[in-house]
Amino acid sequence: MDTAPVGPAADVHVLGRRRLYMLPTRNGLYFALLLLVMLLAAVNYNNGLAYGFTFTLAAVGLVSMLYTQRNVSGLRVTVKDAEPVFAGQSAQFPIHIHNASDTRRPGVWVLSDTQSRCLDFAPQSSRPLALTVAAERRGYLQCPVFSVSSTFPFGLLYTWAKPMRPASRCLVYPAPGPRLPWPHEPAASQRHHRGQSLDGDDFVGLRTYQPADPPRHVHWKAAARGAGWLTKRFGDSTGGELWLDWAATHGGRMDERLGVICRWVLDAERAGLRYGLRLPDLEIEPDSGGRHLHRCLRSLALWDPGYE
Amino acid sequence: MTRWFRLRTYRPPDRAPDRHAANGLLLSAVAALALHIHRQPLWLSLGVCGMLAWRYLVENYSWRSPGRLLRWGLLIAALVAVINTYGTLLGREAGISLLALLVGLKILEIRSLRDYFVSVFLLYFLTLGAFLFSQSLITAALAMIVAVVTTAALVRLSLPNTFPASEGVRLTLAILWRAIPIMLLLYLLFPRIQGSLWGLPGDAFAARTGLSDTVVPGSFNALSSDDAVAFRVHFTGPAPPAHQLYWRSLVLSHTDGTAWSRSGADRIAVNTEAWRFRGDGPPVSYTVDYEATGHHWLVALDLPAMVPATAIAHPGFVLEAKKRVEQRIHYAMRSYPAHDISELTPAAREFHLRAPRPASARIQELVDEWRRGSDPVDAALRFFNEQDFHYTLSPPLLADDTLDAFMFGTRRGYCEHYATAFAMLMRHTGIPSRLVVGYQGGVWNDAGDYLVVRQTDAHAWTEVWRDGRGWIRVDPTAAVAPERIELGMTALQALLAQGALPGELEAATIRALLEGRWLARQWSRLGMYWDAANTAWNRWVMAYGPARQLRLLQSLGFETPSWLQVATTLFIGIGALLLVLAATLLTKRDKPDPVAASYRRFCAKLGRSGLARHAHEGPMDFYQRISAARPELAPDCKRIIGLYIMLRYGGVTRPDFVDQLRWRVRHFTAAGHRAARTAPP
Repeated sequence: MDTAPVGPAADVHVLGRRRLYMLPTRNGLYFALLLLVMLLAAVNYNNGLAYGFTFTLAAVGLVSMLYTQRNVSGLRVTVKDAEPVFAGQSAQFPIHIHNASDTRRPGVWVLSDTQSRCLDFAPQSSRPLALTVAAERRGYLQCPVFSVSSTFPFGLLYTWAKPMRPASRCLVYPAPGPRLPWPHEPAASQRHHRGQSLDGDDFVGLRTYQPADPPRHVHWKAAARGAGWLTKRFGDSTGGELWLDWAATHGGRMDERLGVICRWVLDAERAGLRYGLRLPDLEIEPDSGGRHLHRCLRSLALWDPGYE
Repeated sequence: MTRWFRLRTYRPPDRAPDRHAANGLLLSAVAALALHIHRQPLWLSLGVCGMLAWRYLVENYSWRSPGRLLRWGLLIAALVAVINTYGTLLGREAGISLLALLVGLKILEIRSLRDYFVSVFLLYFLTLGAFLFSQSLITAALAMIVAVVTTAALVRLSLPNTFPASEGVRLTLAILWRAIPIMLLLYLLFPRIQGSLWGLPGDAFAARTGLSDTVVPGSFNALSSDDAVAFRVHFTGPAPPAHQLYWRSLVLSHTDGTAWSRSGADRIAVNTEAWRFRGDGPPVSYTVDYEATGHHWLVALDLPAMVPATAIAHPGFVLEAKKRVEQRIHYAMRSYPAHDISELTPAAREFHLRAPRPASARIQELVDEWRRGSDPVDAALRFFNEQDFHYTLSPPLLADDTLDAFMFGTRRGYCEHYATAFAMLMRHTGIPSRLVVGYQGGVWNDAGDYLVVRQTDAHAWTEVWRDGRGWIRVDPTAAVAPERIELGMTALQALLAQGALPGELEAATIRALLEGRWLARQWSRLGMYWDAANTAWNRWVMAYGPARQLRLLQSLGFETPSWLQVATTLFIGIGALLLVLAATLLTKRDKPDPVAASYRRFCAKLGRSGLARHAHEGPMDFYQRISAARPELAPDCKRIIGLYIMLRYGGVTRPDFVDQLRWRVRHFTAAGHRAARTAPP
C-alpha cells in the first residue's frame, strides 16, 4: 500500500519571552515625539492636567508593551515537511500555530521574505497556514526563515520572534520535460494504457487520492477507518516492462535529461507499465505503484552524478 | 558590529484601515471637538463638522474625496478665517481653532495608515488644548472619555476587521486601568520646574476677573454678577464670626475726587517690622487657595501678622505676590483681629486728608455739624443709617458732583458708593481716611469644611485714623444694610432678587425669605459637594508644583533630592511596576480543567487503596488492571473511565457529562470496598 512519501518530521517552536524582540514602529516614534511636545506644553503652561494627560498616554504606551508581547508570547508554532513538488511549482510548508492561552490574539502576523499573513486567534485555538515558496530547482528545498510578529494593540510597537529556521524541507522533483517517445518499446505482451490508469476491469492497487479522481473509485472503507484518502486503481494487470535509461536521453544539460526521464516515469506510471530506472550509478528494478513512483522521482531529484 | 545590529527585524506591513476604523476615528474627532465647542466660533465648528461629514460620506457612501486643489483652498480659507476672527494665528484661542481646522483637513485627506495615525495624534493634542482653558474636574473627566474613544480608534487601525469596536474600548480601559500606577508615579516624581520655558502668549491668562486697584463708584458692577470663586480658605481652628471676615487686598489712599487708587507710598515694599498693630483677640491661622488673577495682590484676613515666602509686604498691611498670580496659588497665613497702629507722619496725615474737589455747600454744612459733635464718625454712620439710604446693586447713574449727588440725590448704591462717599466725607471733616478693597464674608462649605469666597463677595470699606487709636475700620455699608455683613453677599443677593429692601427687614422675614424651597436647598447642598470635590482636585492635581513635589519627596525621605536621585527612583519605580504587571499579564494561568481534575481525583482515590496509576498508563490499560485486581470496582470504574474517555478523547463537550463524571468520582470509594473485602467474615 502506498504511504506518505516523506516522514512528517515536525519542528516545534514555542515563542518564549527570550525569543521575542520589540521595537517601536515609525508611528510609535511619532507618538514619542507627540508625548515630548505635549510635555513641553505642560511644562510651559505649568498645567497640571496637561502633565497628567501626557503621563497617562506615556504610561498607556509603556503598558501596551506588555500587551504587544503577550499577543505573541507562548504561541506554539509547528512546521512540517512540505509535500513533494516538481521544480517550477510552489512548495507549501504547513505551519500550525496554536494559542493555548485564554486570551484572544488578534493581528498576529506570519512573515517571511516573500509572504505575510495576518491571523486572529480565538482563545484556545489553532490556525493552520501554508508558507508558500517557489521550488525552482530539484533536490531538497529548505523551509524559508520566517518569524511571527505583531503590532497589537496600538500599532506603536512591534514585537517579533527570533527568526525561525525550521529543519523542515520539501523534496523537489525535476520539472517534467517535454513528452518524448519511449526509449524503447515496452517488453512483449504489453498493452498501452495511455490516459486514465483507473480504467479497466482488474483491481491493480491503490494510490493516494487526487482531486480529479472519480468518486466511485475512492476507497471509502479506508477513508472511514481513518487510513487516509485512497483511490482504487483498475487496469490491465499485464502491463509491459520498460527501462528508462539515462543513456537514452541524448545530449542536453543534465536537468533537461532528468526532466525527460521524469516525464517518462510519470507517463509510464499513468500507463500502468512496470518501469525501471537506470542512471549512471544507480539502478531501480522495474515495478509500479505510488511507492515505486516516489522512489524513482526521489532518485531523480537527489541524483548527484558528481560531474557535469 | 554587535549582535543587535545584525538582528533582522520583522515588522508587519501597514494595512489599509477599513471604514469601521475610519468611523471610529471620526467619532473620536467629534468628541475632541465637543470639548472645545463652547469656546469656538460657530463657523469653525460647522466647518470642521462639514469636513468630517464629507469623510464619513466618502467612507460609507463612496463619495469622491476632495481633490488637491480643493484641499489647498480649504487650508487657505481656514487660515484666513482664523486670522480674521482672532487677528493672529498664534496664542491659545487662535491656536486651538487652527488645530481643530487642521484635524478636519487631515481627516479629509487621509490616504495611508500614517495619515490615520497623524490624525489620532492631532486629536490627542486637541484634547490637551482643552486644559489650557479649564483644568476642572469635569474637563478632566470629559477629556478622559475623549482619550478612551480616540485610543479605541487607534486600536482598530492596525487590527483585522474582525476585532469589534467594543473589544477595542474594553482593551483600552484595561490598559488604562493598568497604566494608572505608572501614571501616578510619573505625575508625582517627574521633576517639575518653576515658571515656563519660554514666554507665554499674551492671552494665556486672558479674561480673568478680580479686584482692580482703581475704584470708581460703579466699577464693581462686573464683579457683582461674577460668581467665580476668588479664593477658598481652610481655617486651622474655628472660623471667625461673619462680621470679622474682612479679606483685605489693597489700600487706596489717593483720590482725584471720584476715583480712588494707590498712592506711590502704598506701593513701597516694607519690612513687616513697619507693620505695627494692636490685637483685639487670639490669632487666626488659615490657608488660602487663591485663584489666578493676573495681578500681584493677594488677600489676607484683617489684619495679617505674617508674610508668606512668596509675597512681599506693603504699608497698610497689604500683601503682594512676588510674581503675578497667573495660576492658582496656595499659602498659609496667620491674622489677628486687630487694627493698624503704624505711625502716621505729618506728611502722611496731610496726604490722607487730601480732597481735590471742594465740598459743596450742603456737604460742608453736614460735616461742620458732625465736627461739632463728640464723634464725627459715629455721627456720619448714624446719618447713613437714619436717612433713606438704600442698598441696591443697580444704582442710578450719578451726576457731576458725585458726592453731593449721592448724599442728597440718589442715595442708592452699594459698598463702593458708601465707602468712597464715607472716606471723602471724613476727609472733609478733617479725619484722615483711606479706602480698603478686598472681600467680605464668604459661604461656608460644610462638605469640605472650608470657606468659599467669590468675586460677588468683593467689598470696599474705609479706615479712619483716630489719634491715639490708629486706623479703625469703618464699614458704612453695614450701617445701610447690615445683612450684607451678617448674612453675606449671596444671601443679600437672594433677598434683593425677591424684592426685599435690605436694612429694614425683620430677622424672621429674612429667615423666611432665605429658607427657600427644599429642592433649592438640596441643589445648593449638591453644589457644596461638587465644590468640595473640585477643591480637593485643585489642591492635589492642579496646585501640584515644585513646592509640593519637594514636600512629597522630603516626606519620602529625600532630604535634599537631586535630579539624578529622583530620575533613578522614577526609573526603578516604573521598572518595578512593569515587572509586576508583566508577572500578572504574561504568566499563563491554567484554567482548571474539570475533566482532568476529576480524573486526577479518581486516580488518587485508587492510589490510596494501593492501585496507583502508572505514569505511562492510559485509561483503558488502567481499567484492565483495575478490573483484574479489584473486580468488585469494575462497574463503577467502567462508568467513570468511560465518561472520561468520551470527554477527553471522544470530542464530546457536554456539560451534563462533566457533571456526571464529577458526581461519580465524588461518590466513588475504593477504600470502602477494600475494607468490606478485608473484613473478617
